Amino acid sequence: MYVRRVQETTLEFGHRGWLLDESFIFYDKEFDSLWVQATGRCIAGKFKGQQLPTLPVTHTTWGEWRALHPRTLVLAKPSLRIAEYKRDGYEVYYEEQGTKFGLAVFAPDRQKLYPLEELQARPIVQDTLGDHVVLIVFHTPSQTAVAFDPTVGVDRMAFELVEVTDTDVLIRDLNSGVVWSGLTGRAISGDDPRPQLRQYRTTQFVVFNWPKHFPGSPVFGMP
Amino acid sequence: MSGKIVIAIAVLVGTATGAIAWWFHSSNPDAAAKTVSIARPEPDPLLRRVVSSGRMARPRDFFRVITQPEYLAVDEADGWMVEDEVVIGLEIDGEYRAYPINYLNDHELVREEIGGLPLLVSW
Repeated sequence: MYVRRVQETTLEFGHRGWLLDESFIFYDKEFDSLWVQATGRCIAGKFKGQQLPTLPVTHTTWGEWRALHPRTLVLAKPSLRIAEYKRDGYEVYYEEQGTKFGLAVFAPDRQKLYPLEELQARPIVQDTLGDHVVLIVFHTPSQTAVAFDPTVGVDRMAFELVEVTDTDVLIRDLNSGVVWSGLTGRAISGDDPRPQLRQYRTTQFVVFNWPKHFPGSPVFGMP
Repeated sequence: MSGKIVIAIAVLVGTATGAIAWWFHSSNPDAAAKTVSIARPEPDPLLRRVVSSGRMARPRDFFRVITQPEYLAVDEADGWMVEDEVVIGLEIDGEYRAYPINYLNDHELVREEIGGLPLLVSW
């Protein structure tokens, strides 16, 4: 999820149809610069070296998202579809490769990939990313992975798992005993106003493409 | 005899020309700068890896961008959306959106603006 604004210029994007390291390339209609889908980085043209800002998102199932956020809207089915490419193109390619996904977590100065395979048996993982503390919550039934900064004010919290329910991962702050929704990062017991953890910018990333786009960046569970 | 004179003159002229050229070059930074700007830039190794043809590549704008996305509320989506359909969920200032990745696999891009933020949804 990108913010399509760089150096106070709002951009309109189109699809260039080219690839870099198995990621598609976009172009901006204003200056015809080239941008890499996987990283949001401009590789040629006026904005070369610039990066589109990203927003936190949650990859999950429709049932799960609707349960967490009943007021949500959902993108209506687009009327025009391109069936040909779907059969022929990279979905098939990815199937052939046995594609595995991970949760890519972006701190301001570094990033790390958490392969979903590594998270299957771990509903919560508390980790560090340089100076940043990261809480990864994984809900196996919906294969939903999210990443939070477990800091509220000056308090850095440590959590334990309470229970994995059909629609959430309930966690407890060891200090206060307050129970939190692990998937929304919101306290669900204790006093009002109930605090909310800050979500890291994340995206799902193909594990074998990670070192191509973020060379040297760590992968959880790998030396 | 005259041959030696010709050679001597040629050597003198050549040396003088070289000296003038050296003086001009070293006393005129613009000339040096021009030399640098004329040099062909090193090809960008990143751009050499760009694939612009073959099995995976497509023509420009082959994938259309959804520029005027339409949305359904939860009750309107019953019948369209199945429980385990994978979506990208987004929250901005208390507004929630879900983007089924199955739609993004076809179109790749959604142009949107929520809460004053211009967005590019891609998967």
